[in-house]
Amino acid sequence: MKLQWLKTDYGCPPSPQLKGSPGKKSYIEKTLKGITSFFMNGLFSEEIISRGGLLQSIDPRVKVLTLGLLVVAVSLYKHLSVLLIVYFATVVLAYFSRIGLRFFLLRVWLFIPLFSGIIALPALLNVFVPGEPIFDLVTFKNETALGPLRIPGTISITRQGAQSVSLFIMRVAASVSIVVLLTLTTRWSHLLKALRVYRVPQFFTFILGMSYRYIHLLLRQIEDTHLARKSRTIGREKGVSGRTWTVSQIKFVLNRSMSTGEKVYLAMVSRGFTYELKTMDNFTLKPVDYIWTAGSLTAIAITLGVTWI
Amino acid sequence: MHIPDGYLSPQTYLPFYGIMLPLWYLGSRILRKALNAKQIPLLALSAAFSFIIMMFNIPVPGGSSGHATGSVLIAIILGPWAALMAVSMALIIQALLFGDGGITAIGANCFNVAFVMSFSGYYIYRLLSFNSGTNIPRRIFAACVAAYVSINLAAFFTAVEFGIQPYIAHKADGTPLYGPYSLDVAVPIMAFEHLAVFGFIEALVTGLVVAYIARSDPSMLNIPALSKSAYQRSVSSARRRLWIGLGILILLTPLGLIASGTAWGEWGLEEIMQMLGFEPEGMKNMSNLWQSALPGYALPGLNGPIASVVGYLFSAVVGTGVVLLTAFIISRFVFRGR
Repeated sequence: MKLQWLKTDYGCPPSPQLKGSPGKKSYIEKTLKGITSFFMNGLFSEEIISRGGLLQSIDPRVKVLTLGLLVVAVSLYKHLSVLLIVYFATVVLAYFSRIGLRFFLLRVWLFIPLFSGIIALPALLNVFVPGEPIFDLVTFKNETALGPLRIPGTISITRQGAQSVSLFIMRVAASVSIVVLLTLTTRWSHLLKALRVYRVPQFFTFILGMSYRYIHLLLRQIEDTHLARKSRTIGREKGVSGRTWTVSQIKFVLNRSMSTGEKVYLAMVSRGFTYELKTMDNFTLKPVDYIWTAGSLTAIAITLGVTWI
Repeated sequence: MHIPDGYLSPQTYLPFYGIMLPLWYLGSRILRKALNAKQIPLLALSAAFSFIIMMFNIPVPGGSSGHATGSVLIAIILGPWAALMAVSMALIIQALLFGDGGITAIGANCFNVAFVMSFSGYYIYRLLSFNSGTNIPRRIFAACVAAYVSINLAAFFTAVEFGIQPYIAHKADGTPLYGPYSLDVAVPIMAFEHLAVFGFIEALVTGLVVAYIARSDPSMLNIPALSKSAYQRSVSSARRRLWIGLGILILLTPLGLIASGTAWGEWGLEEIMQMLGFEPEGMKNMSNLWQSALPGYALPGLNGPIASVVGYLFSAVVGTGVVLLTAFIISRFVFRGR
């Protein structure tokens, strides 16, 4: 017997559709898709970390410091050329860290920079960013006003607009690339331990670590209930029943998280919890860490120098 | 509403870290006092709940579905400080692990979603549900209003953070270095999408979950336990009060007779002539386009003070009736079967 539809591949037939939304993904499918991408994200990171490339071999403390400084530096650059160099450097780093380039580019560009690009496009026009026109698009008889916006007689692409949009998109893309590099090559527990070194209070790192663990547990349960609901629903579902069910699920997760919190507390107390946290891996600096730190700090200093001098 | 990296200049994102650091410190102190060692697992699980609630898609009237941020809901259930901490943690996990929201913008994102939204939502809810006891419909109404207003407030702050970028960070030739849109574009766009769409989704989710909790676990909202029949009585008495209130408002409509002057912006052509000295051509052409059935809220052919009062009352009843009928017909067609 084929149990193909049990897989979390949601091209399968029994899916509740809401009235009036033919072809649209149902709310259950949307939630399941979000849950799947959460788990996939964890699996991908784990797989990439185990490949052992350049960034994977660098001490998490060093990586957090250097890549963190780089994100701040990216927010300070004023020249498109510097942003382009940094962006290409991240692609090269991805290559040497054995992250598939197609996967890396899709992961970075899909959604945030692409979305930012779309929303930034109108800023090319002198309607939003006034400046020297480089290409005239439309000419009207008079100036008009649309609410608070003043529409000039000739709508054109401005040099300032084009520069602004390209700076904006490349800044977003470079920042997202650096964060993706950091998260794809560093274990969550190592990242949190590295943050401790930089004086982030243990209270916060402990809660973040624990929270991430229990997100997994709770999401697994929600995935099960959603799959069960999906596989038991035939035809179209009424909005009201979908809403009532979803609300009951939210309440279920709320109850579950509160009671789990209590139980975890009792378990911690019974095991002699003293607020002192220990992780199993001990970090030691290797020669590659020193070389990486020196190289990346010099690069950041030079690029910032180019920006400010 | 999660601002990514690259949208905000350092002059903007650094002060938000400056605001959030003491708030987080204060939050952890307050919760430590209230919960002691218990706070760690409870906050961790609350953060997990906050993360997960953003993943729940719920069907909205109209056939589509959307998700809420849940900040107000968490603030209503756990209190504003716990919500501040839990939602901040969820936002930090999203930024560090999934790139959803920027690392440089963590301060600003936490300020908007975890602080502004949780605190404004919580206090609006408290204000509107003050002394409500077992009046559950008022609590649901308070939760909906709190969610709607506070998400719009958070969106407004986000829009202002976007919108000030061209003024504070640009090159010598005027090229914006970060978010390119100024306040007059960013604020109306964010306001429109949150007033028209996201506000209603947030209110729907918050209101429904509060209604569900009020029925299934009222102690969570500090409501004395109610039997099913008492719950029904509470709902029907609220409905009765709504009708009585509507009736009183209808009876009060003749008060309009003692008000002098005209409501701002509702001037007739003659008043405009007096104020401006001329009659705008467009208004003159359009003024005869529509003649109402009850002009000036008066009954045609009847004069005198009593006739005016009767006219006002009659207009109020007819107007209310027409609005209710229209709403009823629309609801029958649009939400049929839902």
